[in-house]
Amino acid sequence: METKFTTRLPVPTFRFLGVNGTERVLPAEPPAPAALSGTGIQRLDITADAAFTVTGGQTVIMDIHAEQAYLQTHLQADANEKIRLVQIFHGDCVCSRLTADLADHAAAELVQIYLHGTDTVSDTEIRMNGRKSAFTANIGYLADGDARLDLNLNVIQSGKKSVSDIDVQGVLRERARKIFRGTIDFRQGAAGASGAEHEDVLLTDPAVVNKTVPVILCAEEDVAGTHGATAGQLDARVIFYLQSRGIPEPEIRELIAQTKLGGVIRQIGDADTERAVWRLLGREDADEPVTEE
Amino acid sequence: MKQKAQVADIDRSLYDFRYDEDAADLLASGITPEIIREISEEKGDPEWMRAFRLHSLEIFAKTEMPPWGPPVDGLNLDNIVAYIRPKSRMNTDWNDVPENIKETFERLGIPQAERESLAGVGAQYDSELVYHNVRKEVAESGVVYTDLESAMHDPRFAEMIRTHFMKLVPPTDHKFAALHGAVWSGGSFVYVPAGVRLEIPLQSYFRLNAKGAGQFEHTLIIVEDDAYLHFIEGCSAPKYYEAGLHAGCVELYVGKRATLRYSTIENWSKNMYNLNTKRAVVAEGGRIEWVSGSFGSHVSYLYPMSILNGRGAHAEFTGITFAGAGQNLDTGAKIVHNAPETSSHIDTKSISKSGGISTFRSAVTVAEQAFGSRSSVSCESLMLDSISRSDTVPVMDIRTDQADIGHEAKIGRISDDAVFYLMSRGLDEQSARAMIVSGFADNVSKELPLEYAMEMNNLIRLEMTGSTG
Repeated sequence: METKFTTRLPVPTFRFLGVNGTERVLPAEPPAPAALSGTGIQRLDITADAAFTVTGGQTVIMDIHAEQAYLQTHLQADANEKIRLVQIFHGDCVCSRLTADLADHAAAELVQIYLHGTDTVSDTEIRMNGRKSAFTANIGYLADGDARLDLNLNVIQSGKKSVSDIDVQGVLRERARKIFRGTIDFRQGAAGASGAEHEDVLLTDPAVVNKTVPVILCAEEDVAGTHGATAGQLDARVIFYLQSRGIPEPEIRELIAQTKLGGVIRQIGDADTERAVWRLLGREDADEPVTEE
Repeated sequence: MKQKAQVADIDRSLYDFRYDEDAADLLASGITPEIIREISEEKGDPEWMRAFRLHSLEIFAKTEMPPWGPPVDGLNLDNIVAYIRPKSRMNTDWNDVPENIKETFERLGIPQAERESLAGVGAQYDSELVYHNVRKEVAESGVVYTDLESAMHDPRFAEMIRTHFMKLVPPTDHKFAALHGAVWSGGSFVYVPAGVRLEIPLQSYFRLNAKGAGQFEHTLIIVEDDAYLHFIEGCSAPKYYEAGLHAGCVELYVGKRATLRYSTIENWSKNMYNLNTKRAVVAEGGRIEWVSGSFGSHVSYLYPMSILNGRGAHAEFTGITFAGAGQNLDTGAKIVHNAPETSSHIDTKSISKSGGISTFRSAVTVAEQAFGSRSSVSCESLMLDSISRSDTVPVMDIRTDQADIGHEAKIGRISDDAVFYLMSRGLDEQSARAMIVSGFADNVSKELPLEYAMEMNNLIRLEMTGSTG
């Protein structure tokens, strides 16, 4: 049975911008969620529709490379628990919904890397209800060809002294189109909370379309929130310098794009996965160690 | 235990005085074709304008309310009086203005400002301009500053009005643009010839006195190549329990290498719905500079838009929004980079207090052909308590790789350390907080002429302490 997958900007804005939400029709509903529990690292190879519930104390690494897939993931971090989730998206048409509930002193670390997909929609909602709960996100993307990449991240901070930190690094090439909606939502009662969000996008070709919507919603006085976004071109001086060192321009462009994502890749924290991601980026030296084990 | 200073209700007596309307002056409430025809008849519209009004009404009827932004449920358009007949024709001699209208503007300080710091003044009372004057030397330089209706009937300007009126903001833009097209009345027309630099500002002041009424003035400004103009717009209304509506429209045409600074101190009463539309188009090397202070109204939707159509055109928006009790102010700016090497800068501050809701909303779009463009957006929000709300909803839409775009925003509260420091220098807590908020707003006050910066600081002080003393 067909099902609709929708994402929504928490506060709609001007319609002409086309950023208020996204809808995809999927051929089927996702399966019932499988429970993942325990400690240590779990690696999942995802090539079809899947759903998971992840409880605290573990690191889950998902390699998502389906032609078409609907992925649902829920993170449940109870008091003092920590979850790490790494998601590597390099399939064609993938819709992903990720939710998380963080209790007192709980923490979630999210690393997401999106590479070369044709139509990827990702919707993430992090509910930080717990006092001193913490959330960090390191997100990287390389979109090329005619790729469509639609990212929606909503961090709801209700817990006192909760802390969020979101860093997004991306590269858009050729005719790629991307929307990143990042929201930090400070709810009333979140006294002492702080949240920071930053997106930095490198645009390398004239036909790319880059839309960025960095939202802060605030209903509490005693909070500190910041967001920043930059989008720009390759620095001509850097290109000139590297050319003067004998590196051809196509190689320079590749190098700079890889460097941009390198910071996110290093956050994976698992050498095998990092090498696999470098290989996806075309690094011939990917088999060299990139993280101290 | 930490205690906060109590903030008193605002004494708005400076703006809250009013005079009763004669019922015979009011057209029936509601927006119908009959009322539109009656307005058109009253104003002696040319045929094209009569047809334009009726066409706009059709669009209004078909257009939905915006599905985003603050609720406007309290606004019943069937109860709004769209047009109020003038008590007198437009005057160029202050002594000819009817006594109660004259007293209104004198209490608001308009004639004094004209004498001391302005090149010309227009004063609109309800639906029509009642006074318009421009200094002799300014008129001799070729600058035209008059009411829009007079210009429309003047053979020298009629064609200019026809080719520019609601071309930047067409009635199809949104529901209240369509409403404006149907019922517009009053407003100013300014024409600055090529090469003329008007170093002292012109000002229009809009006063809505009648209860349950709407004000729909239209401002059309054309600044030719290499010219300069600073135009100031002020607005206020007394408070009623019935909702009032302001759906004005501002269209600005900035020529090559010309500069237009458009400053607004908006202080509508807190029963008003301020659904205003402002838009500028800027030619090669031209500049549009918006300076905006939003203090009044119950609900505001206000996003001045700059369309940079010429190579090297530049837009700046500097704004402050102060949302107090019962206010939901949704403000910001839109910039369209449509040509190469254009640049823009948005710098806004917002303050929320006593349950007020302040939203910064922006859109920066960079078209494919706008290579070499640059834009920076900075917005800062200050929360003064936890019953208020402050949101920022910026969007960037970039369609070329040859652009550098930056955005930064932060939200926070008044630093306890700063309050403590000021209190250690002898200020009480309330005064310390008011001083910090005034400092927070200095991005706008330093861009205004001294008299207006003082008015704005007084408004902030009113909001913070309930007195100007």
